[in-house]
Amino acid sequence: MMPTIKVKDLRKSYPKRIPLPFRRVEWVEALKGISFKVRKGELFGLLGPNGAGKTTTIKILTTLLEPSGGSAKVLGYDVVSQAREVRRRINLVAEGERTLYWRLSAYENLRYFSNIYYVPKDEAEKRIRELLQLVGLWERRNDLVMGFSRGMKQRLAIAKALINDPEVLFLDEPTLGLDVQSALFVREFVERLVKEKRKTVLLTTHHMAEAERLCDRIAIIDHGRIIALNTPENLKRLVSEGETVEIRVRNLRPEKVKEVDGRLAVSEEDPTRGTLLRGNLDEEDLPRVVEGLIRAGAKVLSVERVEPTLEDVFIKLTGRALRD
Amino acid sequence: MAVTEELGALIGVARKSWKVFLSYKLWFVSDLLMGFFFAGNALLIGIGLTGKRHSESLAQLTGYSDYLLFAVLGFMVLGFGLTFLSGFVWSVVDELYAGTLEYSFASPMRRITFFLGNVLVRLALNGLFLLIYVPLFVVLFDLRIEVVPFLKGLAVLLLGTPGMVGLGLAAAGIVLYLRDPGPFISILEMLVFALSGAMYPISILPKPLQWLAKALPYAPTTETLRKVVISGFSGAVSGIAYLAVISLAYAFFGYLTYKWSEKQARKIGLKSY
Ligand SMILES: Nc1ncnc2c1ncn2[C@@H]1O[C@H](COP(=O)(O)OP(=O)(O)OP(=O)(O)O)[C@@H](O)[C@H]1O
Ligand SMILES: [Mg+2]
Repeated sequence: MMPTIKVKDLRKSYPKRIPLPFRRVEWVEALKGISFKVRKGELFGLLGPNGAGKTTTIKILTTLLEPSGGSAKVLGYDVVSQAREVRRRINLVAEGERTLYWRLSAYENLRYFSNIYYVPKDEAEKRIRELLQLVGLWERRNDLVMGFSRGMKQRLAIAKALINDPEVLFLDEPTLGLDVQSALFVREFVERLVKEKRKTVLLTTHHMAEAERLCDRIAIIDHGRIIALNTPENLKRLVSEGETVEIRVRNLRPEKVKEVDGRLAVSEEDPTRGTLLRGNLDEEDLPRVVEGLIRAGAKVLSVERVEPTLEDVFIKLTGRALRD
Repeated sequence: MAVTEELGALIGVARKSWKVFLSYKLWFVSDLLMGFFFAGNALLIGIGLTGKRHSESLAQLTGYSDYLLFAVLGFMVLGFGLTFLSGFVWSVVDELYAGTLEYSFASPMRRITFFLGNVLVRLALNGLFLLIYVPLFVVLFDLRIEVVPFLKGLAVLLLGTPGMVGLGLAAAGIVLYLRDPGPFISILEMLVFALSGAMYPISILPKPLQWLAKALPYAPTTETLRKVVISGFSGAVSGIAYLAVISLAYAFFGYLTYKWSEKQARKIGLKSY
């Protein structure tokens, strides 16, 4: 069966300044050749730190940017040469909260998008009502978006993304900056879309627990490359041997960590609670590592064995923690 | 059906821009008043400067002895031209900076639908001003204008429209690259104002400016329209032919420029692409 999304050796470079004739500009490689396929009905995650290239990938797949090399197809249509065919059948929730018309009501926003997505009028009325009810904004439909909370704006953005009943949905950091309750709502909503409506979803996140809980498969992306791609379970198998520990220390300069043990990474720095180190070690190594930390001048506050998560996979693959 | 889909989108964009416009209450009122008084002021200044409505030199240059009629027709074209120019440009710039452009550009709607939809309200307002002005001037200043010649004039305006739309598209394409598009837009508006021949015949301009005016679609539309209003289509055949050629040329030029420009923007990744 044809994959719903097919990305092959995709590359993208940005110029540091606007290129003009006779002006030499440097280019930044944001994507250095990534490839993956997403099946119909799959919830696929792109997980990576800031600047990894997640938004760039989404913008290329949603036809907003053109790649510098390689190719991408969505539902069999090329995102460059058949952009309008792609646009008709997909939709997206972009990064940030300034993407909707704040000066219009929730209802007027959806009405606008139903028009520009060619939804027939009768169908649009019905769908707008359904969607607003589904995201819990029907009662607030005539209020201006300006007065909405961050969570409400995001729910409206999701309703907008469903206005054309798309086959494929692209979500760029859909829970970023949301309160716990709104983030939970978004996650459960997306999960239901895939399970009940058989939508294909590609989402980006730098939230490991979210990726792990939600996604059928995850591509871990770093510096414009996919460094691992598998189901969350299989990815975690990479760190199933040995022991994952969290060590909380004080008075340790971050650059010293790698000198003590290359497998450790700083997962959290907190001025009051100290620095949290994390790593996947061999059982017998632990005393030596703790000793090393003390010799490096650190005050070790606690050592704890923890369940490995995707963060440990990322640390193992890159030597760095994937911090928020 | 493709056409009805696109029309639905056009109305959708127009309604959106109308609602956004309305939501800036003070701007809305001041824009309306500005639009209304701008033309009125300019006309009265013209009359004030010449001292009288009827001018022999104007009649010699243009065949029009009545300055008021001359200027009313000129302003009709200028209003159209400026709407396509600054209207197109602001519709990208405003949304680019607000952050809302991306969702519209990610939709299957055609670009021209987005641009035209965003200026539809302004076009309608222009028409409304005209509907108020013309009868008002007929009553107040005894403006003489016949319906049939006027409708013929509108046909000429329609002929010049593709060219004016084209220039608007070209300007919108350029603006994608400017960090601060305000000054660029002001300069363009000034140029169009000076070279449109709305308030004075372009034959009084220095030669190089005359050529420039001739090379843009505004003045040829204005002059041909005026000619058609007094002497009918048969009296303006060469003007009509010339206008048809440059109007089409600018339509193509503008379309291609915009398309190229947006493609470049997609390649280099400007703010909202
Ligand atoms: N329009 C642009 N012009 C120049 N450089 C850009 C542009 N957009 C992104 N970049 C650069 O490309 C790289 C990848 O950026 P991208 O936004 O895709 O990362 P991301 O994974 O979405 O990060 P984040 O988690 O911060 O959203 C970064 O180095 C970024 O600085
Ligand atoms: Mg991003």
